[in-house]
Amino acid sequence: MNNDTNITLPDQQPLGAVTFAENPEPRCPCLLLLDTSGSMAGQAITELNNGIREFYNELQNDSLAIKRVEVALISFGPVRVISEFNTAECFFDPELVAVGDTPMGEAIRKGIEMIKNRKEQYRANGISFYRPWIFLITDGEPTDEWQSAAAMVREGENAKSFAFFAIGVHKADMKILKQISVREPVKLQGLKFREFFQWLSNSMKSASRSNPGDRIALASPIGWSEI
Amino acid sequence: MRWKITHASVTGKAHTDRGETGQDYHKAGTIQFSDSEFFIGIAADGAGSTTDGGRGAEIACETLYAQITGLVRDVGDLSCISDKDVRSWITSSRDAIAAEAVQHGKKLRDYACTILGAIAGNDRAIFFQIGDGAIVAGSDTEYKTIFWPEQGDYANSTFFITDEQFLDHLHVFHEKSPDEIALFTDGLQNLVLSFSQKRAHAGFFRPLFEALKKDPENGFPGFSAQLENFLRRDDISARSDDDKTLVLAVRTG
Repeated sequence: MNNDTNITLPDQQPLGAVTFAENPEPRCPCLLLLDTSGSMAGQAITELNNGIREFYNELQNDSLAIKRVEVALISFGPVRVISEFNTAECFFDPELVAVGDTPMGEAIRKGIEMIKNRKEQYRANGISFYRPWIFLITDGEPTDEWQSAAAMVREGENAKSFAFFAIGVHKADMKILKQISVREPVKLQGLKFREFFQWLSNSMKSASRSNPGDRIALASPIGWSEI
Repeated sequence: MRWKITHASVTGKAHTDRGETGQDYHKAGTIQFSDSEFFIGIAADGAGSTTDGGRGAEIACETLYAQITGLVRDVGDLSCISDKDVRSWITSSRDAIAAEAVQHGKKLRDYACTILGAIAGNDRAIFFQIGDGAIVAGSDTEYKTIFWPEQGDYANSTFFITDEQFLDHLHVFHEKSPDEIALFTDGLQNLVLSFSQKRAHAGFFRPLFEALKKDPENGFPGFSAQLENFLRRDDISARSDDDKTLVLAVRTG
């Protein structure tokens, strides 16, 4: 390919001086509401911790996801904010411990509040963002008032303020989850947290790449859910 | 007074990775009318979630370009062109897309795309836009965005010519003709606009316009090839894996 010498360019690198605007990446927020009540003790909590570690690992190894995906963690039994919304760079190992009852209603209300605040921060800083995702993972039933939380979930889904997903583990009360989540709750196969988080990180990676006009399609939860 | 132009569309990694073709399209050129020359540039970005957004973008650019050149040749003066003319071009382009959709048994929204348009003569210029991407106008050292990219509530939503309420999101602006014009689709907007300061990044536009001004000939094929290579550069792909279109015009003489 040496036959292009008949064209002499005025400057071999005329576009070399171009620089880019320093621009904050659009954010893709994901909130995990994790049941850490006493019944999760033993292998369940170990697998959950491993799954979360894996999840952060996957996000850290993706050049766009590490800048765009923001994860927040709330555990309940009692309700605690383990991590505010942060990109995967700021990961610390949460080492969740299973103890207490299941204040699911309070956790959901707290989570929705966190999403609302985060969106306000994005707007104030001129950062664009994707529709937030909330994942509720529980192996039991709420031990507190949950109807008001369910109403907030319905309201948020209707207004497209967020997308809410419920995952039931073991003996989770799927009937109540159905009343909380507008979307059909999914039952985790055994303790396949690792497979679930693998699926979630893949979904977050593709969501964080989506461009205007893209519909974000979640892959089917094959491999970790009971159909 | 003449215009020097260059333009390129490249397919983003998001599409090439999935073996898809790009969904950006553009059409740009100049027409001579007595002693003045007019620049006409149109760019469109087909929606990523659609089957035929790329085709919608192509129909939109081609039909808009044909209508605009027709009217400019008829009237020869941009001050005679009103917002109503722009609305009527957009409406007939949308009709052309709808006709093809019907012909293929598809829905209009399968052809969703954004629209960016610029027409500039000696004194006057007209700009229009639906959705995201942006148009930047420069005079000497000042660069300004004509319209800011219009997004929906979320980062991955915007407005399209195929929308039901498309005229509500059509923005039209008339002003004194600038010396430099750039049209670009959303694949570039995060790199070349500062969202926190809400302005065009001069460090991007100035060297590009300078290089085009220094380029010896109008339509010199080497320059658009360089522009294409530039848009494919790794540091650009790392920041945006979407399709990218850039149309540049500078006034000479």
